[in-house]
Amino acid sequence: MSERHLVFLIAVAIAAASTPIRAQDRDGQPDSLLRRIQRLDSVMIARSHRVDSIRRSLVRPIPPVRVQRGTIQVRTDSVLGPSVRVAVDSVAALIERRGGTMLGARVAGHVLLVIPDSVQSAFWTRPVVTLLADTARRWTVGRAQTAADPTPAQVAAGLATLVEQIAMQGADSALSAWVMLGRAPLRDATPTETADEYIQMVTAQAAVVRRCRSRDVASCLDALGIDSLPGTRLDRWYAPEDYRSALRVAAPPREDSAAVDAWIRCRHDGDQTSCRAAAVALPNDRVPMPLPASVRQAFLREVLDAGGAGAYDRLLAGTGTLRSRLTVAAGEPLDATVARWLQRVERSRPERMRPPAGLILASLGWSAAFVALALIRRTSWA
Amino acid sequence: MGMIWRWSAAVALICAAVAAVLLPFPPSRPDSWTTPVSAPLASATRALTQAAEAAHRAVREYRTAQALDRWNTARTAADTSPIRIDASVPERVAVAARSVVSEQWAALGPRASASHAQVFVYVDTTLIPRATRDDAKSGTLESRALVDVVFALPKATDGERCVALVRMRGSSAAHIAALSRQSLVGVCGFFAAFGMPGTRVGEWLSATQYRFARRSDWNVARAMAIDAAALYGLDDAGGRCLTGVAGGCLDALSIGTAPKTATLAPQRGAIIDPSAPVAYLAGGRVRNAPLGSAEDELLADAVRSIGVDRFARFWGSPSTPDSAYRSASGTSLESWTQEWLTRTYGAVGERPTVRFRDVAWIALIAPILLVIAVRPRERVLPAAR
Repeated sequence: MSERHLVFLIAVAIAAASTPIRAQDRDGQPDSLLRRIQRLDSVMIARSHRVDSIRRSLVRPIPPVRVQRGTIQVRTDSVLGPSVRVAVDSVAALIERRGGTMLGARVAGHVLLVIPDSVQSAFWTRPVVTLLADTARRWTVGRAQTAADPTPAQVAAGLATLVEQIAMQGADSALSAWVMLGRAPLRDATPTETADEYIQMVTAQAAVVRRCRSRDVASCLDALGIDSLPGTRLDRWYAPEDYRSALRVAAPPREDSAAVDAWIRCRHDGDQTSCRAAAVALPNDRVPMPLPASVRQAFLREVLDAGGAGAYDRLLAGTGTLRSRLTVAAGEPLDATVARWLQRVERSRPERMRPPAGLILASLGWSAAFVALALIRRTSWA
Repeated sequence: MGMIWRWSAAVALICAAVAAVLLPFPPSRPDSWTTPVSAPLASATRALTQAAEAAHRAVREYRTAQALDRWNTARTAADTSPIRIDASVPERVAVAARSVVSEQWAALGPRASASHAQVFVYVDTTLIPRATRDDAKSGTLESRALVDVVFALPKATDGERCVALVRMRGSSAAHIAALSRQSLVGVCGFFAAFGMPGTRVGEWLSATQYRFARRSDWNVARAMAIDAAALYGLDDAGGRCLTGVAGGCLDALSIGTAPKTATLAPQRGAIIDPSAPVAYLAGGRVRNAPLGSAEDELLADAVRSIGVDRFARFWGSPSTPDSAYRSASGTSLESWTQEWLTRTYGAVGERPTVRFRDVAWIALIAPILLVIAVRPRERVLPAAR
């Protein structure tokens, strides 16, 4: 090899060594990286199928008693059978009342299970009855529990919970995000729920809720997250006197040290200037919602009640904005629904709390016990 | 004495009655639907997790390799700009990207130079096809995001520059907005402001995968953690550091000990992917981050704390990190880290101690109580009629 060739080869070697890392240098060619991804992906898919296969094989034998009314089908054992039959009748009536083919089809796609089960408690396992929305999968989305020896009403409540969860499965993301709780309110509200709703409305420290209670429909829709008014959330939802309350559940970002200092002063001292400084520093997406999800559920129930049979189907099938979908589901202008909902909320003010009889008895019993012990002390046992 | 026995017997009887009602405890039903996961299922799930981890790591490597290829293709020796926009980026997006990068670059201060760092922005909308298309579960292999940012350390680029590889998955307004919400300088900000790290400091940073230097926003004053529970996110070494146990801070900083981060493949050590999950392993167990969730701010806070010039001396020092920090700032890294933990997560409450006044009160009152207790009880006899 001549000296010129040697110098040339050294130069090429130095150039090659100083060439920066490229995709090709890492593993041959970019295509080879892609092929590696495909290979690993195949392995992942195969292992995923293997997990599914094992999970399917682990499913216990399906309970022997089959109960079916309309589209709802339940499997249970012979002990729970009588209670489940009565419960299924009432839940089938609920599905029929809410009506619609979509709800029926969704419920028909599941075989619900009502089985004896047990859960861990502090020192031992506690027998319960578990209600599952599926027989095929081990960890189903729909799940409820009730007492070990349930009444038909308790079983019906559990089954209705499952049906409400099934109703929201597969709903589009906009509706699911608005509903928040992962279940559609198909049942009538209990007295406790209506009382809670009233308390939430009257105790909410948010200007938008106060405007809503004074029959401002636009504010109601804004507070419920259905249709927003112009402006930032803070300006729309809260007045300066509400800032301290809002800052109990939200804090400015750590990077804003001045705002965090103000937030601490607001929480500790209630200083209005600090509260304002901290509140205005909240990013728009951190401003807390003025009403909880349970109030949205109550309003959705009002919409479904207004729409009658098929309201649920129309809600799910609807397109466009949330407001337009709720309007279509209710079958009336949403203003009318809001007005009726507000009237109902105001009517549902709970009675003053009555002390339960058990509490009175317990108080009397303990008082008597203490008096008796005092008397025993006076006449010594010694 | 007799009274004590009677009371004891009464309590024992009540306990026996409660036990008779409750015992034996109901057994766990063998056919329970909530029994623990079966061994084959646990094993198969573990295998699936490993496969998924490997596949996603391969995807990240592929994307990084593609990005470096693009960067290398357009690279020129005379390139002294802190930002390079790929030809794939439409002009209006390029303008917005330049504005975002310039703003973040300016926040690094006047020392920032393009000789050791660069931001490379490109648009890549391609999808990686799944191995089987007919699988019901097939989705995408990559997580959903509008913008991906990966930092390629000098070892992975030209040996001189840390490059932030910014992949925009589209060019809509949402993509531009996502771009402005992310840090595009990250760990490369340190290279921009302070150049290449010194030998031993660089080794420490590499061994810890730059996890204390992932944020370079030292222009931002940070408040202490608002969440009081953040304190419990510290690993035991972090806890020892916070409470002032000697050596705790150096352990938490992995100085003089093996780093607790999971070991990655060699070529991945030069790539910092903030979106990749990082596991801290100690003795085969996954642990909390040694210095908690804020540990990526540590060195940025050090810049604020000791000043840019002193930090530059620390960064470029060939000594070990603790001695480099001491010679640059005059304080030990250990004590500064303890202060930083206290400032970030809040101070630990004082240990309960016996106070002198408590002892004095007890010494005074105990004899009085004892005298009262042992005093013979006087019986009141019925008055004679």
